[in-house]
Amino acid sequence: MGWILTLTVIFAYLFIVLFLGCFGGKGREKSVEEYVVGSRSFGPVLMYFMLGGSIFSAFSYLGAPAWAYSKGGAAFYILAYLSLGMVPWWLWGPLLSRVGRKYNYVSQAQLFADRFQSKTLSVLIAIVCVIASVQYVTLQMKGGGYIFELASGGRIPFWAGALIGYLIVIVYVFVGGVRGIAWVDICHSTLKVGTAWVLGLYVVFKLYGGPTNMFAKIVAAKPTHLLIGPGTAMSYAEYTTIVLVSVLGFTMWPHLFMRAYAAKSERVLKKTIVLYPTFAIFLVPILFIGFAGILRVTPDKLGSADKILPYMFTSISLSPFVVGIILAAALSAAMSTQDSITHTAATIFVQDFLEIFRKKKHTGKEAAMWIRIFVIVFGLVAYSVAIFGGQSLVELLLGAFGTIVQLLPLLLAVFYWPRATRAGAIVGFVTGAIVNNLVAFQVIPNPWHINAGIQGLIVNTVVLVIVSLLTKPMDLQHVRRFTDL
Amino acid sequence: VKSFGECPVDDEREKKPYGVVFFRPGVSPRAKKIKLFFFAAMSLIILAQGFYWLFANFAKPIIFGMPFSMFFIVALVAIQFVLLLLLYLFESKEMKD
Repeated sequence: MGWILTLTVIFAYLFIVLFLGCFGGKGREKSVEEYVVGSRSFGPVLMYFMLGGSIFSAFSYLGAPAWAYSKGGAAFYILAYLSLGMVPWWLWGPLLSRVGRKYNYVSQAQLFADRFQSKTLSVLIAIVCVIASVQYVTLQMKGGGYIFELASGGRIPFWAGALIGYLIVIVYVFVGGVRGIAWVDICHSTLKVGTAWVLGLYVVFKLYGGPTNMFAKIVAAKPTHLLIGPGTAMSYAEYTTIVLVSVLGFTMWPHLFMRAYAAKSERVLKKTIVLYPTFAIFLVPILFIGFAGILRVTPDKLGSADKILPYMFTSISLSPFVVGIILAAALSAAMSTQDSITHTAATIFVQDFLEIFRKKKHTGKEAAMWIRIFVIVFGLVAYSVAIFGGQSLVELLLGAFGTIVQLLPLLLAVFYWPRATRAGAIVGFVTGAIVNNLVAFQVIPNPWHINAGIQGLIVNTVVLVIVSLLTKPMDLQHVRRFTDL
Repeated sequence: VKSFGECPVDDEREKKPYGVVFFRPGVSPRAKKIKLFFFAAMSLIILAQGFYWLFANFAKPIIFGMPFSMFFIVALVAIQFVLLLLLYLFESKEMKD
């Protein structure tokens, strides 16, 4: 009967989330600016938790310990890139905030389309971002389905679990918008960090008497497992390039990019960047849980490395109540990413795709309503991919991640290089995206294991510069609207 | 000479209107120095994280319950936090609210 208590805890948590999400945005005006960027009024607390919540997804909660367990030292890259990811934002975050406020942008593509005077670019970016988002949300839904299945001992099937998670997210994103998401993320993040520290250390102390003893035993049994390089799970070149491309491309994700528009001021934005590395430290005990499994669980017993975190908790006979809290935390990790990305993808689809093809633009209220409708539609598409197989589709979409990173040269050109032209931006972006996908899908050989995204970035930058220099410069007064902010 | 805020417009900017813009018009020389210093420091931290295996690809000694490589990465995160805090304090006067 323990499963009933476990499920009760999870549903109680979901009720709190639903309440916060729906009432977080209550009493606010119904404009698109409020629904998408919270009327550009977010303070440091909301910004900090919203960024942390949307970044620490099912990947960091379930995937990071899986990497520690199966790939050892290679997992440190997650710690490195998540702590550094916001640093480049110091350069362009305040500029984004200023430009968004000045020209009323609410999405990423609006900035690029305006600077390069190109609807084609807007449509291209919208397509890439929506495709990448479907994959990301699908993965989170699968995480949700799996958690309900585990919590109920198989009584709630995978499809129903994913559906419950989907409905909860859709309701509060639909009603509360970005403000609802921000309040929910405070709740999600507190639960995730709390359980990570308390239970992560508990597992290590219970099984090994402490982390020092655990690592000493791992080193004695598997001397190279905590290292990288030849004979380990990751080569030097792979490690370095994956850290570099992740740091450079981190803030290009549309949902993070758009958060700069939501900040109340530059001071708030910079405070958030200063505090952000503290979120990365949360990963330390999460990695410990994965390392704790190395000498306790054989891979054949586990099936998939992704199951290591719940496996470790269920193997040390905790009370059903505590298991409920742990699984609620894992569910919150999945939901906190799902809500942000669903909201962003719907915004992008309406603002950067549909609006482009309309002669008469929607009013603010109409646009906000269309975004709400596409929150439901987008969620349905992602749910269908999660349920009806779609594994091969997910694999096909993997290249979309590296494609997002290809927006970086365009962003740098917007704020720092007036000579960049429309043709340079489009040809550079498309070439970079193609190279990334060809390398990612091994059409082009990659003998040195250099990250596909970084290869695309290099080609993209070179092409953008050459094509821009070969084409007529854009109007100086226009481009200085962006470089003289 | 036209001016933006406290500083005269850079002649280079007028000669090469489409040249790369590293600083916005009106940034004082002191602020430029501070920004460049922190840019260099943060770039070094990013490179140190990416190339940590050159200096710290060892499991032992185990420090604060972490293998040396992990401790090195966490220490870099702590240094990064302090640097960002200092940068924030330096820049806080000129920020626009």
